[in-house]
This record gives sequence, structure tokens and C-alpha cells, in this order.
Amino acid sequence: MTRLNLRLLLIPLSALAAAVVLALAAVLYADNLVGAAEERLATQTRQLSQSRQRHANAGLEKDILQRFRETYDALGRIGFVGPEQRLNWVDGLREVNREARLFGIDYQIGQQETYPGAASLGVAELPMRQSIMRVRMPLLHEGDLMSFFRLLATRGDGVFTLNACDLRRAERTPANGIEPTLLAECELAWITVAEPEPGAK
Amino acid sequence: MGPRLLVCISSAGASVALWRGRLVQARRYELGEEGEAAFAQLLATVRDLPVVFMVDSVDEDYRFETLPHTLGRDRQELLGRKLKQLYRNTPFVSARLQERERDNRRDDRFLFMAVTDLDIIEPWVSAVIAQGLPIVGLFALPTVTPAAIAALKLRVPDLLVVSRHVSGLRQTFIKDGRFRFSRLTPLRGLPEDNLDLAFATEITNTRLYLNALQAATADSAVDVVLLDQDDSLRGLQARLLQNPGILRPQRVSRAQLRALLKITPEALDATPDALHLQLLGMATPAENLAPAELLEGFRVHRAGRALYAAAGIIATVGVLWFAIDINRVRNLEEETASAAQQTRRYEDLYAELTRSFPASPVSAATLRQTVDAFERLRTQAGTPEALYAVLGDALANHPAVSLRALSWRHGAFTDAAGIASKGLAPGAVGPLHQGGHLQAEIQPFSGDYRSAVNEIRGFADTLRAHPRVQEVKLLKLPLDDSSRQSLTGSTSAQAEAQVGAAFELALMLKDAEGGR
Repeated sequence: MTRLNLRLLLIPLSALAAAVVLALAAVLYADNLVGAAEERLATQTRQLSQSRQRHANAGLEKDILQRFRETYDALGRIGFVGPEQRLNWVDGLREVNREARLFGIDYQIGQQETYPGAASLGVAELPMRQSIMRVRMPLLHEGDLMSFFRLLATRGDGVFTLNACDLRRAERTPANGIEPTLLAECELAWITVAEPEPGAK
Repeated sequence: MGPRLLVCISSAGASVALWRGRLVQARRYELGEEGEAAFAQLLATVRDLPVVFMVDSVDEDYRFETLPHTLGRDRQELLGRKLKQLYRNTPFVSARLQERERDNRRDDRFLFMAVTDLDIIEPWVSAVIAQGLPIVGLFALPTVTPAAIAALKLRVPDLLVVSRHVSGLRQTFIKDGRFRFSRLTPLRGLPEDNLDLAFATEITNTRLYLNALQAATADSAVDVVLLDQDDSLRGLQARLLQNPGILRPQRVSRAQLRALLKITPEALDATPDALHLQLLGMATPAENLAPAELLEGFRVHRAGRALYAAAGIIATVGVLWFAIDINRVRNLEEETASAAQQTRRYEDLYAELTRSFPASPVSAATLRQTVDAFERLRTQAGTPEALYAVLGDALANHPAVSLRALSWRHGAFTDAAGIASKGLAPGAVGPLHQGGHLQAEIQPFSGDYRSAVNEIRGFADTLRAHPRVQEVKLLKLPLDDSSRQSLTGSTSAQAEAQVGAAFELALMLKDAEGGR
């Protein structure tokens, strides 16, 4: 095929190239439209399924609201639901130290973070948070440690779980009065459930 | 076949017609400057139209040759050499396999043909080349004749087709439907007042020539068909009928030709070549005399058409695909709209129902999950009390064991060794377990490592035996007698008292009934 002949074929070749490009563009564009429409239908179908399910479960929902509302409000009062009550926690430490006649409690509270155990509790979707508190206190007897936690729990300043406790013998210092024999270091997780913003449900 | 310009060249000039499924605008151009100029003018009006040439000339040659059987490139080379040998002075040649010999060698029998009068061809072909029109081919006029057989229902083995042209009387012999040879008898020199007799004599001579060629036997009758497009051969038919033994004449009149071949009367009136132009338009013969370089333009033209066709097919497929997809999108949108309508209906119904629900800051699901989470936290919560109780029981049986430090852990441990390696913040993912890490020593210690180790192992066994203990792992002994590492020490009483008999162990508790 000579150069002249190739030149003569330039227009048909251009037409073919244009047809290929246009056809491809049309096919891709139309396929995209189909994909988007399928996605919209899938989303709408999911929403329909949820609405249908919610409608079917309306009776059960009402029953849940009636059964658990009171408990939920009580959880709010003890600081499990809603924002953290750090002032109450610190007040609680001070009060318990006085009541249990301890030698003072050093504490350190970390930043609030997502509670990693929500999934293992079976409530992965619940917005659970935790703040780790480390306490350090001298003790006369290991039994004082459990008294301390029992008093703290019964105050209702919040909900906490114990993660760890280290006990070791205290270094003896020459003194005449009552002297602590043990040093305890414990880690607590103060757990809260965030309430939704007003208007959101 | 698409639109084409058909050109029949003869010594008298050229007949030209446009082919659009039938002959359109047939006309004649005389040989000479005037005719060629008019032809060039016509060519200027058609654009990119393929041109097919047909030559009706007395300067033509047909001959059969038997060649050794070959195939492919060998055959091409052999035929090329043979054509050069036979026809040195013309490029318008062709060779076509007719049959194979029936003997053992099974040689190939070829029909070689050529048109040698270049002078009558050149002006017309040059005019087409000058206009850049693609040339489909150049054919000898008699090679289009077989196209008439089917249309005229002339299915006989030996057929002599006779037709009258500007240049003379054309006789074409067709055997078994295939062109064998042709003769053109110029009118020049024939008695004008008795042409029928002259034509009849020519046909009788041809019949005898067939005998010589062994194309027909002497006593067999050959069918002679007179294609009489101007109804001028009635007398010839009558003449031939006077000699019925060797010839079986029949005449196809102008009216019959018009009816059977669908030739327009305008075309028949315009040129005596109309019949063969019609046959050329109906079927392109295989015997193309045009050299390859003359056909280059048509190859490009055909390639261009193929590209256009491909573009058309692709564009059509694209449009169809697009249309199908758009239709599908419309259906999907309708389904989506229907689903949205149903969703709204269920939401309205749900909203109606929830009006009677007690007020709540959160959804029922969140409400329940929050209460459930609290209950599970309470159930799973652990304290060191259980560990202290277990250790208290064991230490009561082993007064020589003195505690130095004790760590309690509540986390996602998998074994006792994991408890000792964790820091103060165990990972909380996974099932939670309780355990402890114990640092203690044997007191009093007299330097008797054997007794001390036995005491420690006994202590560990006591722990293992406790119903709340799942696993106990001794992490460190006062003296490691493992052969895998070196061992240093001193047997002096003072040194042994300083070192002491310290040890470490880790234990994991079983999950308590109803909680941990």
C-alpha cells in the first residue's frame, strides 16, 4: 500500500476511529448510568427493607421503650449515659479516701477514647467511650483495696471496670504511728455511653 | 454489486452506462477526440465511482494450454511465465483453470486469453485514471455471456451464443455453462445486401471449427441462440433453420430480452452494447484482464468501503448498546421510584404508629443496647478478690512462701504467660479472663536449692489443684538447672543468703459460674 493510497484511506480510517471512540464513549457512559441506577435501586431497596422491618417491629419497639426507659434514665443518673462526670469521680475518690481512712490516693485520668470492648459486649454500634484512671495508694492490708473499690462503686458517680491491680510491699520508713505495709497501683476504666445530639435519634 | 460505471470499448468507440441494479443513462461515445472529451466530462461528474471495462475487439485471443498441476505461488509463477511467453505485447491478459486432465498426471487445463488492441483501450482507461476513479477490471466481452444462461433459461451442454454488435457478429461458445472461446466477425467486407447469408455461413463455419476443436461431435446438433436486441436477426434464424441437422437455432427477441433480463428500452435504444453491459452489471466475470497495478485504486476503494462498513457496524452496535442501556436505566429508575414510594408509605405508617410511643431521647434499639451493655459490663466485671482468695488458700499450706509483689490482671489473655507479659493496660478485645503474676521467695532459705525448688513446685501444684485455677506457669526459679544456658553461683553461706530463693509464677483463673 503506497503512501498515496494510505492518504486516500485517511478519511475512512478517521471515520472508523471516530466510530470506535464514539461507540466506546457511548457504551461506557451508558454503562455508568446503568451502574449508578443499579446502585440507587439497591440503596432504595435497602431503605425499603429497613422501613418494612421497622414497621413490622413497631409493636416490639414500643414494648422495648416501655420496658427499658426507666432503666435507661437510671443509667443516666449514675453517669453511665451522657457526658463524663470527672468532677464527681474525683470527689468520689476524696470521699472514699476519707471514709476508708486511707493514706491518700494519687490519681491520673487519661483522655477519653473509644471503648474497645463494645463489640465483645455485642453492642458494636453503641457509641461507648472510656477514660483510663490510674490510682496509687498505700494500704495497711490488702482487704482495704477491695473496701476502697466497693465504696467507690456504691457512690454512683459513674460506671467503671477494673483492669489491673499491682500490690507490693511498701518500703518501711522509721515512724511511730500506723504505717502502710502495702502499695497498690490499679487501673480503672470509666465507661460512658454518649447520648445523641439533640434532635438526632 | 453497488453502483458502478460500465464501459464497453470497441473499435467504434465506447458505450457507457451507470449501473444501479439496472442500466441507467446509457450512451455512446465515438472513438476520437470529441468522444473522449465528452467521456472525460462525464467522468468529472461522478465521484469515487468504480469503473468496469469490457472490450469488444477482433484483436482478442483465446487458447487452451495444458500445464503440470501446481498450486499457490508455483502456479502464479508458472502462469506468469506462460502469459509473458504467449502475449508479449499486451498487459491485458488472463489465465483461468478450466479443468484437470483425466489421465494419470492430472495436469491442469487453463484458458489463456488476451486483448491485444491497446489503441482502442488506452484513451478510455487513461481518462478514468486521470479522474482517479477506481477500476474494478477489464474483461473481454464474450466472458460476460455466461451470465445470460440462467436468466434466459438456456441450460444445454453445447451452446453457441450469437449477437450483433457495432463491430460485427459475435459468436461465443459455451460448454457446460462455461466460456470456451469466441469469434468476432467484422461487418467490414461482408455483403450488406445479404448479411443473413453471410452470418449463416460464418455460423456454419464456426460449427465446423467446433468439430476441429473436438468441442462437439460432427453429427451432434449444437444449440445456437441468437440474442437479437434489435430484432434484426429474424432472417438469420430462418436461414439457419434451413440446415437443421447440425444447428438448432432459436432467437431471443428484443421483447424477450427486455422481459427476461430486465433491460430498459432506453438502454437498448441508446447503444447496441446494452445487452452485454446489462450482463456485465449482473455478474462480474472471473477472467479479469486488467494488470494488478490498474486495480490498485479499486483495492484502496474496497478497503475504504470496508472501513466505512466497519465504522457503520461499530457505530450501530454502539447506538444499540446505548439504547438498550438507556432503556435499562429507565426501568431501574421506575423500580427505584416504586421502591421509594413504598418506603414513604411504610415510613408514614411507622410515623403514625410512633405517635402513641412513650417519649425517648434515643431509639428503642439504642435504649435496649445501652441497658444490655450495662448488664454485660456488670456481669463481666472482675476484681482481685478471687485471686486473693486462691492465693490465700495456697499460702496457708505453704508457710515458707513469702509474697513480694502481686499483680492482678483482667483482660483478653489467652494463657498464663500472657498475663505476665502484659502491662497495666491489657487489650480488651476478645473474651476477658482474670489472672495474676506473683513474685515471691522461700524463707527461710539455707542455701538448699533442691528443697527450695521442691517447695516452689509444691506451691505451684497446690495452686493448680485449686478449683478456680485454670493454668499455672512457673516463670522463674531460684536456680535454673536447664542445660540450655550457663549457670553461675557460689556455695558460700553468705552469698547464698544474699541471693535468696526468689521465684515468679503466673496463673490464670477459670471463668466463674455466671460471670468472671
